[in-house]
Amino acid sequence: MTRIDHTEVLWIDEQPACSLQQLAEASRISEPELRELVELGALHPTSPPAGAAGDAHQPWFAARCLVTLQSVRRLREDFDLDTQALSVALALLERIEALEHEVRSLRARLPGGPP
Amino acid sequence: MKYTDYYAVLGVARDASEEDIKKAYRRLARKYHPDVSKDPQGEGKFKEVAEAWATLRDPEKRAAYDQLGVHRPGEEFEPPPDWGRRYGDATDGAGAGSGGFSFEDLDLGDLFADLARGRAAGARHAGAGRAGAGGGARPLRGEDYEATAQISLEDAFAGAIVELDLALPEYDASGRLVRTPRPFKARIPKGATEGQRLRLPGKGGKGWNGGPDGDLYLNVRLRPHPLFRADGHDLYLDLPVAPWEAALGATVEVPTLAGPVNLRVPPGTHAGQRLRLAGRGLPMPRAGAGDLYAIVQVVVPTVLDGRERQLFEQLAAASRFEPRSHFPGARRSL
Repeated sequence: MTRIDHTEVLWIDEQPACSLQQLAEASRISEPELRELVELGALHPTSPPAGAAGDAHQPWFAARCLVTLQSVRRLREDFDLDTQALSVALALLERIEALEHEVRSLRARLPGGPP
Repeated sequence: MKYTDYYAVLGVARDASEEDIKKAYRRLARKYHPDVSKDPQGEGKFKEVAEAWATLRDPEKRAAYDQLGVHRPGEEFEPPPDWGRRYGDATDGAGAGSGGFSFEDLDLGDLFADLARGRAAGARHAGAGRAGAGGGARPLRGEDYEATAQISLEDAFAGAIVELDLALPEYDASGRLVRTPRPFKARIPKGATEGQRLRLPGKGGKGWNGGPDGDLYLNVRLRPHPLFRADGHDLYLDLPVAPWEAALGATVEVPTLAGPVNLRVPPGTHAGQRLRLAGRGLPMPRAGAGDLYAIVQVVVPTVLDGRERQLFEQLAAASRFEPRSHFPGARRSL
């Protein structure tokens, strides 16, 4: 009989949850590359969580950045993009995501709109 | 093992140059890549394209692939005899042909991915086993995977356990790469919304050489609901009311995900007006909840009996209401 594992999940949202080191480990993108993405404005640090230990100058990131960085990794591997091109692609993808969110939101508010 | 025609997948001739193969890949990747394509079939197509590209871009792998000969796509075929020794159990040693090794559980993509990881025959055939294969014993973290979990609004409201039935490429005890069923249950906490990402640490591909297992990322999608539409944690519901309920006001029962509640429709309510039921939307992950908005739709009976028609006619005659008074030169009904 096949064994079925039970597992708990972690939220990936706007909460500040990852240090640079943790983000590098989870995303498999090196710390220097992450710093470059921050400098290019493709990755946005956030305030550290209350009571966070460590260097006050170390950036912290929302867990949601992991989603962005998965895109970074895929785009880089699949299209051979350099960091500069990645930052442009990411900015455009974020704009598309924001517009899609707005469309979904407006549709939900329309009387008789699609479920 | 089923044959996949990688040249056909990329739409190039078998003698295509590296540059032509690269161009074909880029064109198809641009079309189907999950990060840029909105084609619902795009992700599956991209996997085929990426698998073909991963093999044909590498001269060594392309030569090995060409060695397989030409078959019809999907046709069962047997790899060349020496491949059994190259990929088989080291204890199979001098086995003629494919010996005790079976390719049945393997697909072509897995086989060439195995080559890519430098896990091919040499080290394994020499009896080095998994830990010693390809490039020494450096621990490698397992692959990360993504999956979609479709849940109902009721599940998003209350939390749910979803059963995921994944088949991931993994190495078995003898070091062979096989597709292994990985069924497991994941608890989706209440408050997930459309597009919510969840991370399941250690539920991705198995690590190598003692490296940690990869992670699994779940993308939550909400199934359409017959009554409610979700916008983040807020819910929207169409609320049909009769003209007299809208004009005079009424208390009506409306459904919520936690059960029906009474809602007061104020006198003079108009169509399209949103009536807010605070905290009756989807719960938020840590505290609080979104709101439920009932969007008023004034509906009229499509068939009137004699008495109803008479009452509407009396109302029409007596009312001074001018719904189009803001139109230039507006007049009452002609």
